[in-house]
Amino acid sequence: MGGIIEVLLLGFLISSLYALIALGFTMIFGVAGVLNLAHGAFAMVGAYLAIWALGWGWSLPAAALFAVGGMAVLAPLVYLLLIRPVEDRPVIVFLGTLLFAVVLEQIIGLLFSFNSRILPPLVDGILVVGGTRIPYNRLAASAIALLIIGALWLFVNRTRAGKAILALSMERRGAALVGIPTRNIILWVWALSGALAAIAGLFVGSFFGISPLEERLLLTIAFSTVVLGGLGSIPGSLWAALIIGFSETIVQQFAPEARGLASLVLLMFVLTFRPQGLLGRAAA
Amino acid sequence: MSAQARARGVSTATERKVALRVEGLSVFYGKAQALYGLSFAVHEGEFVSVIGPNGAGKTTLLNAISGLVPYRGRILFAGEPLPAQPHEIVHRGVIHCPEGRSLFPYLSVYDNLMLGAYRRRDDGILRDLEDVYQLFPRLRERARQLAGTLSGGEQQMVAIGRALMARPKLLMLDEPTLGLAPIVRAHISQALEEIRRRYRMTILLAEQNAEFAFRHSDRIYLLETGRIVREGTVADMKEDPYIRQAYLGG
Repeated sequence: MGGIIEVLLLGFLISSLYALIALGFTMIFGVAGVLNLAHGAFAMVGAYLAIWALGWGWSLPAAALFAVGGMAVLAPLVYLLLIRPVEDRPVIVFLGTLLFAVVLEQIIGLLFSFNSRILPPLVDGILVVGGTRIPYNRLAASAIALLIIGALWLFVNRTRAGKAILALSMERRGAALVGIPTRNIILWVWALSGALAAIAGLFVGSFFGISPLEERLLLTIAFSTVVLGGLGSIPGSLWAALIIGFSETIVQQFAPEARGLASLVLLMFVLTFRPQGLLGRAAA
Repeated sequence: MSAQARARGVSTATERKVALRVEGLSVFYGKAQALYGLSFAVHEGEFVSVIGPNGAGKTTLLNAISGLVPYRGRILFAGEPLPAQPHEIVHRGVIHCPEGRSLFPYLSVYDNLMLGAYRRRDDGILRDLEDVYQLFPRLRERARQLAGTLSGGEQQMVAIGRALMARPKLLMLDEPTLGLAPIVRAHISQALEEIRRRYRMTILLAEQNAEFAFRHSDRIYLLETGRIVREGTVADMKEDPYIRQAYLGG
């Protein structure tokens, strides 16, 4: 009984973490047409912004807000200064964002050392259910993740700005011709993507610890989730995050060393039989 | 916007004010030149067609006016130069219903139509949606369906409806009947007449099918390899031996 609760909760937590990482990544691909290989680095830098602010004696919520706000400003700046000038050349964008990620790794490493850090928990205490010990922090994090994903879903599907983002991700010329200010919307999506990356980074930092090189793993997670769900598809990423999150957690219960394997096997099958991903649109 | 609403049903047939004026318009794709210094005008309430063979530059012309491609020369609407960005041009009431339609395939018909009114803040949007549904009853039936799953003719109706939802002062249509079955073409044709009768808007049509263009227009420009080679009223152009022979099947 306790084992099941633990798997459910941990699975859900991991899934929402993967969803948070993947959503920003897939939105940038869908709307701006950019495969942002610095997305994992954005999440990592977000966590370090919070660590930095904590060093000044800020409270954890204030530091978290600083991290999220900071990435919401930095991500559009990176796009404006680094990506927009070479936007029409996908290979340059690909290499450019990858190199930028490595540069961020090194800068953060020099400033904070390459050792892993752990962010303090948001809430202390442990809940005991049927012999299973569940930290309140995990419950709180799951609730926050659920709220953020729900809010994002409502924003995209129920608001005018969200509809504009969806429209832009489907048909850029059509969006321009109905009067959507495409350049502005793209900047806002970068801001949103940066904020989501920072939130994901905070989660990772507080559950598993974060180090500068961790960004590579985060990028890999974003990449596999998004490819499994279908590049550019928001619901696809959510489903894929659930599938990967739960399969990893379940496998870990029986064979901890094979945890990472589950998602790779899944990914291999999906790419063989449905290359566009679960909810991906067949290549246009 | 409300001025246009008031103008509905009011005869503007005698007005000769210039709505769109294009002066010395050239467009380059890299080193290749697509348009060579075009100059022409469309008057308020007028239906003007640009006809010509595939590759003559009709689509490029409309794309330049709606800000999708950079150009040299001047494009004035209601006496003022058009801004550079497509969304600012939409704000001026110049609405482009593009070749290939550019619908949002994974949004519903309803969402597609409502996005046509994206820049509007007035309270007439739902009334205009009702007008579009009256014009194309099929769209009301399919309101909840994803636009990408419709037939070609239905998609064209969505594209025209979406353009109308912006309340155009100038409506630019690019090959609205391309690839459609004759019966669907007749339906679109009917709708165009209805739009003209009801809204009295200025229309610029780019059309390869000369007979379709002649049926609807007041005046015609013939575009060949990026240059205007003939222009005139429908009556005059029908008498032109070159046009009769090359475009109207003798």
